[in-house]
Amino acid sequence: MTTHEAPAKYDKPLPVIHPDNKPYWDSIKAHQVKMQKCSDCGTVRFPVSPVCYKCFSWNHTWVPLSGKGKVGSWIVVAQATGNPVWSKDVPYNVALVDLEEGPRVTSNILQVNNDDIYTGMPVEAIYDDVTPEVSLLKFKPAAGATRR
Amino acid sequence: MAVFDMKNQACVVGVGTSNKFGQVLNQSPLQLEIEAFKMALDDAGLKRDDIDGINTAFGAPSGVDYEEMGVQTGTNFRWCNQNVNHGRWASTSISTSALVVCAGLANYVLVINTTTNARGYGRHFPRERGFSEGMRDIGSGHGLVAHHGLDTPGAATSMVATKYMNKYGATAEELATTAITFRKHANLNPMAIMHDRPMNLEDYMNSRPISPPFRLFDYCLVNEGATCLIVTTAERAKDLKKKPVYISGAQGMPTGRNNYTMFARPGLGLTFEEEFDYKVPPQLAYQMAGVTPKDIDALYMYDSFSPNLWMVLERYGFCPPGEGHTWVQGGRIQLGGELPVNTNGGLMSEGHFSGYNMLVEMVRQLRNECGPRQVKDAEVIQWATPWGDSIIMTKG
Repeated sequence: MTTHEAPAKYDKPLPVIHPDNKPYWDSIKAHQVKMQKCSDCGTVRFPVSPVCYKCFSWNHTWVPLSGKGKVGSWIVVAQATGNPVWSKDVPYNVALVDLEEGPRVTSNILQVNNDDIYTGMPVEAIYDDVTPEVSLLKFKPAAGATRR
Repeated sequence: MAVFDMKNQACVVGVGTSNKFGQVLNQSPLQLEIEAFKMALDDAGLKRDDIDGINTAFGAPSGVDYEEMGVQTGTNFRWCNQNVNHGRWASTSISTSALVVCAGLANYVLVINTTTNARGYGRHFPRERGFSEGMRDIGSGHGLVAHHGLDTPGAATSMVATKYMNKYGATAEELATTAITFRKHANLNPMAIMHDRPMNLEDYMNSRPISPPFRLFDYCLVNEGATCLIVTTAERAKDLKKKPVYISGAQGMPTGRNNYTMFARPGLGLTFEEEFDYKVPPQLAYQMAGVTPKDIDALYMYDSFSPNLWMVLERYGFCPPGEGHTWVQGGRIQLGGELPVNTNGGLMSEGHFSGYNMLVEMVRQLRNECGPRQVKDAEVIQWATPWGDSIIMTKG
């Protein structure tokens, strides 16, 4: 017998959550950014890994970050040529954000006019609860993020 | 230190392609691949039964696998290797084949590949919704992160271009030079898919924006066709039909924390890499071949996207970091210029055959077979990718 599930409202790709990265995604769902900090050399790392990329140690703790960062680079997609689900969002931005604690993440800047984004723009974390199970880390301009 | 000096120990002795390259050919991948196989055998003066090794790739989205080639062509392979159809494995397919023939694991190895198109033969297969590599924790090597809408190599590489252009003040007109030059070359190559379709700066500027700064013509083609190269030892090559082309220098496909984003030169600070001042490290391919960038008579590079050329020139030291965008101007990279690049038209205008088509062109150039697009007195030719693998071939 076939069961018919109601189509999910959110039809975009979701991250693959597995034992290694679950603490990260749990933290985003709780509206906080947590990343791994090496207990031996102190490096805060991203993407998630079982070991430190600098000193190869297993030992780490999950530490809360400030959620503050700066735009390292960004693009505005004019035509979605990959998964067609993105077509309804064009033009949309994708940005590299350098977090205060060191790691760089790829994300989107919300609550901004795409023309106003610039290199070095201060941004802060916001949390997009895209499904009941998954939230995504996104960013918005920080106070004082006026154009150069 | 190497226990064996690889320089000039192995050669390419035969090359071939499918009879046509095209966006949609309505032929099976196996048909295309056998056309390339037969052409390469004729070119080398070899018979099917001489061939005993195959180094192939599968995918994009469906090529031909090693077993189909064994069963359906009646070839008995005693050494097979298969990877994924990506440009990143093109030169490594040549260098591993060279090592295999030198070690006696096979006598004659086919480096043979077919590319199909999701609108062509590939339509028979499930469509991959964006690159699945983009679902990994590290995203894909292009920089893709699927859940943030960065899900095509082109969009990810437009991030590289934006970073570079802002950092070094490069312009859209400078970016145009790559596509326009390669199109000129394609118009000297009857096999090129964009042959007889000239493009000037105005055409380029008027092409539609996809992921700025990228316009349509900053992208390579998506197409169908097959390529074949036959590798053997220098000793065996002596008895064959044509002068061999030597495999004189090679370096493998690198990866690492700060050498990750496929189409970015290290130091630019893309994806999770650090931003730093890039200094060209020693390049094994040059050391092995005993040459420097100044000795390279023509350069072939993986031009999936237009700024890849700047990355290659800077990564290998053809010009200082940050100067690729100006260095390529003024006809320098055109046929007849100081460093002709992608004289076949490249992935942008001949076709995207994962770079194997450039390896075929390199062999033909070194045999002086390229007619109107021949690089005069070509003796040392390099294949170089933006992510760091390379092969140097020299005239036999």
